[in-house]
This record gives sequence, C-alpha cells and structure tokens, in this order.
Amino acid sequence: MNAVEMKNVRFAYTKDTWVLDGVDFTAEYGKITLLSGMSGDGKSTLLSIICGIIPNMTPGTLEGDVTVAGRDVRGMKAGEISRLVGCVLQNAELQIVQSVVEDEVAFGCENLAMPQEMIEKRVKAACAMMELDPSLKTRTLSGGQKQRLITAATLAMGQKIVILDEPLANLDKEGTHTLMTALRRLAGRGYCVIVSEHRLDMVLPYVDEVWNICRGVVRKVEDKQAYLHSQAEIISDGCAPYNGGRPVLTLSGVTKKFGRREILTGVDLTVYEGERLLILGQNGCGKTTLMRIIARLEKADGGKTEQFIDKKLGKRRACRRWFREVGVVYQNPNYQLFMPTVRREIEFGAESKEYADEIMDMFDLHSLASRHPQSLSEGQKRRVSIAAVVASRPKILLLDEPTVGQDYAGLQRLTDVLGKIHERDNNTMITVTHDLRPARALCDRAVLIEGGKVVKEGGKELVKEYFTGEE
Amino acid sequence: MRENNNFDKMNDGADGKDEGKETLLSEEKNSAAGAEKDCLDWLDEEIPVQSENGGQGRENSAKTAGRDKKRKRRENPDIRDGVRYNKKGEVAIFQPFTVKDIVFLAIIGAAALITSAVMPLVAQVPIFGLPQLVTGLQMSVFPTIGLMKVRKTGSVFIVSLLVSVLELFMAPAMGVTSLISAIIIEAINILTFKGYRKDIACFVSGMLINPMTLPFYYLYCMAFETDSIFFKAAGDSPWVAVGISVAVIAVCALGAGLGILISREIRKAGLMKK
Amino acid sequence: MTDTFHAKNPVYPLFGFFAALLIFAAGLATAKHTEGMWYLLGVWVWFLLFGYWRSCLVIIPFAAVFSGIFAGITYLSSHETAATLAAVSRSAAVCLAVLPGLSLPAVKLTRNLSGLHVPRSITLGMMIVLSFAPLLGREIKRIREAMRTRGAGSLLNPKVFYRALLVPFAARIVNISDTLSLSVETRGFCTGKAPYTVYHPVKCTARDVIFLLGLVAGSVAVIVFCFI
Repeated sequence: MNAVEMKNVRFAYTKDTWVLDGVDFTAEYGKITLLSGMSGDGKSTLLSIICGIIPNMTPGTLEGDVTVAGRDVRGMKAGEISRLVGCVLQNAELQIVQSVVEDEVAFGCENLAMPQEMIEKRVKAACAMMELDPSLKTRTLSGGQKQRLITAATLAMGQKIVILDEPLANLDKEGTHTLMTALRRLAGRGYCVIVSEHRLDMVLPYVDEVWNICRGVVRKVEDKQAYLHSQAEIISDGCAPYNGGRPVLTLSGVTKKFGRREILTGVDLTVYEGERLLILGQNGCGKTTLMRIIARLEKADGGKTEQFIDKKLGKRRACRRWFREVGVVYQNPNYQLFMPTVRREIEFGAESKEYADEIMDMFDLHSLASRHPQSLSEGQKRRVSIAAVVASRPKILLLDEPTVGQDYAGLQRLTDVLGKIHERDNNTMITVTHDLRPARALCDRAVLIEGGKVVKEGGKELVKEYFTGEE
Repeated sequence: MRENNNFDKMNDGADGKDEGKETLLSEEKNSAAGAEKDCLDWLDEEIPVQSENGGQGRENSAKTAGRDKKRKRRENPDIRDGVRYNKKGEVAIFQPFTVKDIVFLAIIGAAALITSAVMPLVAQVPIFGLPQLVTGLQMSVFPTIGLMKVRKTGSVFIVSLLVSVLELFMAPAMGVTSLISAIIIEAINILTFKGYRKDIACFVSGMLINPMTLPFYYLYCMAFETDSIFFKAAGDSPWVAVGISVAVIAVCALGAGLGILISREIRKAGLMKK
Repeated sequence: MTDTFHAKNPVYPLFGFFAALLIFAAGLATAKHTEGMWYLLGVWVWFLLFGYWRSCLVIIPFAAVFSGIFAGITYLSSHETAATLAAVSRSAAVCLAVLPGLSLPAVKLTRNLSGLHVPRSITLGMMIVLSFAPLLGREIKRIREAMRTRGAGSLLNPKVFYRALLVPFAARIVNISDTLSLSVETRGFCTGKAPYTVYHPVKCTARDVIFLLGLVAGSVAVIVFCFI
C-alpha cells in the first residue's frame, strides 16, 4: 500500500485558476520522497492537501482522489488527519508557542492525549534525534535550532507519514546533515517521509525518489543527476567587464556578536565604486549581518567601517540622506511595502513621475500598477520592492536574496534590468544570494564568508567553484 | 550544545555519511533493520486511541453523562459552514470560536501588549486617566483589527482576558477592571448591534475598550489615593476628570478609526479572508 | 516576566496570584500606618524564606527609585512626613505585589491552569500572547528599520508614517497568525471537548499551603492592628 496516492487531482484557491492541474503522485512507506520545484509552482499546495490543511483550514476547490494511509481524505476532519500525517511547515520561528523546548515538543503529544510517561519518552527521543537540549529556552535558540525544534515537535507525535515543507531554509550544512540523517533513519523504519525543497544539491544524496513540480503538473524524475544539471540553467552576464574604481566602503576587522554567538569574527572587505560584489556563504555564516552593518542598520561590535561616498554622510549615523545614497532591499519584501498601489509605491521614492514610469516599464510592472502591493505573490512583491528602492537612484544598492520566488523567465528579466540600471547609473551593487542561476550575472567580484570571516576572494570563477565544485 | 547520551548511541549507526550516498543509503537501511536498540523505538509505539470522552480516565460516569448532556445542548443549534443558527434560523449571537480565531485574537493581544509595554509602570502613577491616555491608541487600533477579522461576540472579552491575565500580575487593579469593562462592552454590543457584522459595531467596541475602565479607575483612586496630590486635581474639580475622559475617548476613537481603515485595506488586498 | 527574575521553585501559581492581590490590597489599605511598613517588611522576608531571594534582591533598587520619586514629589507638594511615608509604603506594596508574577515562569502558570481544566483555547492563547509579544516587538523594530530605508520614518509626515508602520505590521500579524494556527492545528490541537493530557502537571504541596496561610495570617493581623 502506498502511503500517499493522488489521482488526477486539481485544486484552485479561487475559481478557475488551477494551482494544481491533473496531479498524479505517490509516496511509499520506507522511502524519502523529494518534491522539487521553484517557489510558487504549487509545492506547498500539494503538501497542504496531503496533510489536510486543504480543504479543512484553507478553502478552495479540490477535485480528484487523495488517499492517505489507505483512507480517502475527503470528509476526514483535521484532527483525524493529524493522527495520520505529521506536518512540518515553513517559518519555524512563527510556530513556537511554549517557552521551553521540552514543552514545545510535548505539545502535540498532549493534544493526542498520550499518557504522561509516554510523552516523556517521546520528548527525550525526539530531542535526541534532533540534537536539542530539552531544557533550553525556546527564545534563545538560533534559526536552525528552531527549525529542528519544530521538526522534533512533529516527530514526537509519531505519525507514520511525515511531511516537511522546505525544512532546510534555516539550516547550515551540519544542520542539514543532522536533519536528513534523522529522516533517513525514520525511512529505514518504514516511515513515509515527504520533503519539499528547492536546493536540490543539498538533499539529493539523501532521498530515494524525486518528483518535479512545474506549473501545477507533477512528474517523477528517474535520473537524479541529469535532473540536477538540468535545473541549473545559468543566466549569462550582459554587462561589460568591470574596469576598476576607487574604494567607496572599507571594513576592517569588523566583529559582531549576538548574545554569546559570534557571527562575524573579523571581516576585512573593500568595496569599489561601480562594481558588482557578490557575497557567498552557507546559511547562518553572517552574510545578512554583514549586509546590515554595511547598510548601517546594525552597529559592529569591533573593527572599523568607513565610507567614501560623501563626506557629509558622516561616520556612524544612518540618517535620511544615507538611505538616499544607499538603497537597501530586504530579504523579506513585506516590510518595505506600504502604499496602497504598486504605482504609488514606486512613485514614493522616485524623483519624478516620469522616472517612476520608466522604472515600472523596466520591471514590467504596468500590469500590476493599480494592485495593492500586499495582495501580490511573493515573487511579484520582491520585484516591486526592488523597483521601489531602485527608483530612488541609490549610488550603492544592497540586495539580500533578491531572486527568491522568481521563475526562470522572471529571473532573467530581473537580472537583465539590474544589469541595465547598473550600467546606466554606474551604481555599486552588493548582492547576497543562494541562487546559482543568476549568481554569475550579478557578479564582477565575489567573496566567500566562512566562520565569520572573508576566506576567499575572486571573480566569476569563485562563484562557479562555490556552487558546483565543492558540493 | 549539550551532548545527549541517547544521541551518541544512536549516531553509531550513521557514521558512514561521507562515503558517498549509496553507502549512506544502504548502511542506514541495514542499521534500521538490525537489532539496534535506540531512541526511535519510543516513536514506534502505538498512540493509544481514546474515545471522545476518554481523557485520562479521570472522569466518572456521572460526570461523563453530564458532559454528554451539555454537549448535546451545545450541538443542538444548527451549525452550517462554521456559522451557528438559532431555532428561528437566524444567525445566532454567540458563534463558536475556531482555533484560527483564538490564535488571531491572541496575536492581537500580544501586539497590544508589546506596544503598551510602558503600562505596568504608568498604571502605578496615580494620575487619573494617565494609563488610559498613554495606551489609548494601541489598545484601540489592534483590538479593532481583531474585531474586523473575528466578528464574533466575545472577541473583546477574549483579547481582554488574555492580556489581563498577564496584567493581573503587573498591575492587579488594571487587570480586574479591564476584564469587567470587557464584559460591559460585550453587553452593550449585544444590546445595540447584536454582534460585529457591521463595521460601526467594531468601531464602537474597539473605541470603548480603554475609556470603559475610566469609571473603575476613578473609584479606585477615590478609595486608595485620596490624599495623593496627583489625584487631588481630578477629585477637587470633576471637570478635570471629565476633560481627561474626553481626551481618552478622542484618542481611542482615532485609534479605532485607524484600525478600521487598516483592516479594510488589508482585506481589500486579500489577506484577511474569513 | 524576564528569566532573570524566575524563582527556582515558585509557589503554586494560583496561590502566587492570590498572594499578589492580597499584598496589593493590604499594603494600600494600611499605607498610612506604621504597622503597614512592618507588614511589608515581613512579606519581603517571607518571600525570601520561600526561595525568592533573587527577585527579592533585584526588586530593591527598583523599589527604591520608584518610591523615592513618589515620596519626593509628595513631600515637595505637601511638606508632610506622614503623607511622604504613606507614599513610600504604597509604592513598596506595589513592588512587592509584582514579585510572585515576576518570579513565575509562564509555563508553570499555563500548566497549572490546564491542570485545572481551564479551556485549552485560553491557556494556548496565554502562551501565544507571552511568546509572541517579544517576537512582535522584533517585527516592529524591523518595520521601523525598513521605513527608514525607504525614507518614510519621519514623524513630521504622520500620514506616511502611520501607513508605513501599520500596513506592513497588520499584514504581518495576519500572516503570522495564519502560519501559527495551521501549525497548531496540524499538531492536533482543537477547541472543544477533545481529550488531552498535561505533561508535567503542577501540584500543590504543603509548602505552598504554608506560604499562603502565613501570608493570609500576616495580612489579617496587620489589618486588625491598624483598624480595630
């Protein structure tokens, strides 16, 4: 018996826009099944159907047959399905209710009314498997630990079918290994494990079956390696080679600690005018912190940061004028969008309406002009937030993961536009990305951060080495 | 991180990780098939399935019977699509709360609480109306947003209850009064609007949450702080008290208005589905 | 309820809560009498005896500053020693009443309440309020930063300021609550009468009863002394 079977499944959140269209999908006991695909292609939707979120908690139109553990999910209550399927959702940080690790892990068991001794054993087992100390305070955990905690909280409930939606989002290499080994052990014991993940290279060595989802259609992948290579269509760089310039920013010996955790241990970095600098590194290595220090959103604990953009900008304070010169695009676009329409969002920072129009043209936003920014998809929001920041013509542009949620075509357009604007304004671009596809097209020079330091510096060849060489 | 003995034991079987994925796969499978005794055994135990009344075997039959009766009474009204109807077929005043509602109201409570973090300190300052004035905006914007999403009788009470349980420890008088005033607000709402289907009902209740505690606060000040110079001004001339109250109501009306505008906009953006 | 204040072995949460109310009421009622001062001192020692030494010590500077301010203002305006002392007493009572709450890890309270069959939605709600208040605080900080990066952080332009703050924040609240409620439901939580167990229930011990009895006796005694 297959753990999960879907036959000709169609699903739409709103009428007639089918997110899933004719999906046939199976997952077996004793195997790890990977569901791969870009954001927005329907991965989460498919998983939500299996674990009963759809149609129980999120309404929509569902057609076709869905069988989970041999039972038709239709008509089953969420409470019943939660006894069959364990589900680890994205954004672990937003799911932690309790203040101590063991209580959080016990929460699901309490809901299933397990006897006290049983809960105790399960909490211990699940914490051990995820390498967590049960007595830790949840508030002090790192992002990776939080992800492992939420996973432990689900595993402790002991369902034979376990679903994990993008479980590696906050994990570094070690954390990934811990998690994936634990999942392998579960699969070895006859559990059915379904994982969705877009970072293929990280998970492929651990999984048994691979399914690809693309525009609402699912197909099984037979040759894993060929698939891995086919996914990495590289976007080529359209810009002229960089000719060098004067330094605009220097960091020397910059350190930063959060509590007891040392994030940066002494970064030395010079940024030159008009270059495109790419910052590479594993999750949790301090890339975002480094960006925040450069953007003056965070103060370094030690070391020296200097800017040579404009003397009037001073040394420390991030004043209004500073952010006119230095454009910052957040990792999460939701924080930066606040106007009632996309057009007004772009016009807010633009020097003139004509320029805003031009920017909207470049970013292909005219069709969205009258939409509310918060009503857009994540990929569209990101495009709008980049456009809105670019519209104020910053001399230095900081981009933190600008390409998440973009499909290939969107990605190509975005990279092109960023390149065009870079050539026209001769701005300095500093980018952090996990995405292999646009990395080379966003880079004149790359630095690799490891252990809170710059360990390697190079050109496009470093990007290649980082993404394909060592992994 | 502290190493756990259990984990050490468990890890023994998984050391072949770096020798390529094929070894990893096969070794994992072997170790699992083997007689290795590890913590995973606990996870394989069957979860005892319990009947609806099962619990922990703590209730006796009489209790269960009473509960059954209660549940029957509760399930009697017709519930369709999560909406409860009364015997006449109208939408009932008291609607059941879903997990989603409770979570949203709790988050709203957290937002109100964190933005009025100064309250426990200000609450001790015996100036009539000061705590209400300082927290007026936050305590009206967020509850109004909560009401606009969870349009059910009892929402104000739940937000107040969740916030005040924490307040009780910090400023006992404040906690008790906000609970009592929440009940009064719900009563006013039932009598005038019969629920929160209209935006104006959300506005009125959201606006009243803070000002409603003023009379209680007045009594409290009269009882305990009669010789406090801070309170004398209000005690000597009722007009000072009236003036402050009007200011508080104005601030809260502004807050509730903002709350309505924001939630309408968010709903238009498609974020606030019911 | 920061961790620094947490007592290792706090008294039964409901008793602690009752104690807070009692101290608050008795302290305010007897503020004008010298006996009231002795009563408060006694309560402080009582807390000390029951293992609250950490919060007892931490509260001293707070109480000193707090009562100092009120005593100072009272003295400046009334020039009466009695009124000043009463102000000191009142402030001290307020600080002492806060002690049991400050020293109580939130888990204990919710475990206590779920053990007493308080509806689970309420205990879950309390846990959420507690653990998400700091998280939302961080969200607000991030939004304030994002506002500055977009040049919308100035209070001089209130219309833009309120939009840039409240629209993303409200959207985040909706977003967070959606994620959280899904997570809670997929972990088997439901409202209503579903069976559940309590991991580590909090039990009432003889020590807790002694604590409460002592406190009640003291409070009754001081009120009798002062008013009869």
